[in-house]
Amino acid sequence: MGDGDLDLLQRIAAGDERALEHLYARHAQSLLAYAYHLIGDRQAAEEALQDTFVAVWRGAAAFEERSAVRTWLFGICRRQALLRVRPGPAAPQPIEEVPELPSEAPGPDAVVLARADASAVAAALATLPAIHREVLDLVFGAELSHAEVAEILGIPVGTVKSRLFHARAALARALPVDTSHSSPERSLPAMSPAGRGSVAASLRARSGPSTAGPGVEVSQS
Amino acid sequence: MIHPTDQLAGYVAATLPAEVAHRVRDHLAECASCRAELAAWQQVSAGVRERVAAVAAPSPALFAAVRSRLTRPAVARYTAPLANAPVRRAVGVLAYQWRLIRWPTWVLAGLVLVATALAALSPIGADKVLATVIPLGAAAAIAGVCGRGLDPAAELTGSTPTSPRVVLLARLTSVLATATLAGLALTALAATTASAGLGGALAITMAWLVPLAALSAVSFALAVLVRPSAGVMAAVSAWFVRVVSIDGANRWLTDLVDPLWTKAPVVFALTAVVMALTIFLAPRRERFRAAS
Repeated sequence: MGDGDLDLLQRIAAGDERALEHLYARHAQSLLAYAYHLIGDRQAAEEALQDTFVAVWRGAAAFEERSAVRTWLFGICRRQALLRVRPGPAAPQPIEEVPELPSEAPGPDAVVLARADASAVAAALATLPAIHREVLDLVFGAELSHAEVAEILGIPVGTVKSRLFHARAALARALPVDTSHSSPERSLPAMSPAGRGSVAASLRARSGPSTAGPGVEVSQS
Repeated sequence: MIHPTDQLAGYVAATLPAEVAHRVRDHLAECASCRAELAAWQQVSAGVRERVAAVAAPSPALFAAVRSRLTRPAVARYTAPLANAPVRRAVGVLAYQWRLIRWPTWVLAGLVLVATALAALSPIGADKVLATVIPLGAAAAIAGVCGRGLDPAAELTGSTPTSPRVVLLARLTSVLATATLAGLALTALAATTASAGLGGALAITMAWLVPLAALSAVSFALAVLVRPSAGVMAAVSAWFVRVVSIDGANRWLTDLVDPLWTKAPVVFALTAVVMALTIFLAPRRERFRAAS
């Protein structure tokens, strides 16, 4: 994929509109999804996508091959999208810590996640703070390597890794309320009622006494 | 055994280098706890991908809108905005270079100018004094203003549509013009005081203008292409040899630098060539430095 992109970009730099259309066809969908999830507004996300490709057209000659074309595209798209994010109420900033890496047994969030289904996870994702959701979007949605994500976000690779673990923990905390209330049989099929209660209790303990709701309380792990 | 815990997310996203992915796969085959971790990441990934898939693809009208905004062909980096109002732009670029010079520089330059004026009026002779001070001052100023890596606004100018060559040329022009104007003013002062007439004034002018060109070119080329200290050192070395041997024995070293002070046509021609070449090469040098 990478080589083709570079070739297209060189043709774009030479003024080839066809090449721009090809590049657009390759990446527009994932860029739009990324922008949409950053902004939360379809119209604004489409504008950001437009501006991204106009910027690519103008800036193709200045591309210096220090990163992959796709990384560069996401970097531009991110700047364009952040210009359109309305400053909402200040989100609690997660504390970046060294992740608690499971040494022997998988952690409780791994157990919870493994039992959830994709649509429940997708729903829980919507409740995560933007900083956590974005790193998941870039790693699994855009399928960029940790190093590329680090470059786009302007943070060290180690922070990408710890953010991923925090995001996953926050996601697991956002999950059980949805799944155990709506469809406990599907999401926790192998557990006895007593066992389910104890998992729920341990998750409540993890997210503290606050009643602010899932996903608001972050990064106490 | 070391668990590849923080490679698992990349493994699920298939963004690991093949070799690392191999190792992770081998490990997963024999480690139940990492398989459980992997399953959790797979769920996260499935959730994210479902959310991405839920975003409807952009309509064809969207690219049409992009295309309608591509009115001009993709332009090379520095050409388009320079096309309008060239004179105003040139004056603007020139004027803005002055803002980068701090006040101690102005004070120092003023003191040197006053001291030079006093010395030029003394019995030493205006031609010798001016030929000694002005070229060295200009060479040092050029190295300081144009030298590689010294620009406090390099990041900023790098992001403007003005070419780095234009900026460099503006700075060189500023320093040379200042040195020349100062030299002419002092020459006029000395010639008037000594009532030397136009011929005398011309002789004084050539005495400093030729080495001014020579040392400036040497300093400029080395400061821009190598480093500022190299430019200053080369100019000072030539200047020093000339000063200590001005009435001395006719050694080979003296023969070497003497033309820089006397051979006007050759010096002016070479100066123009060296400066033009330096301005041409400067951005390439910067790019090389950025790449290395």
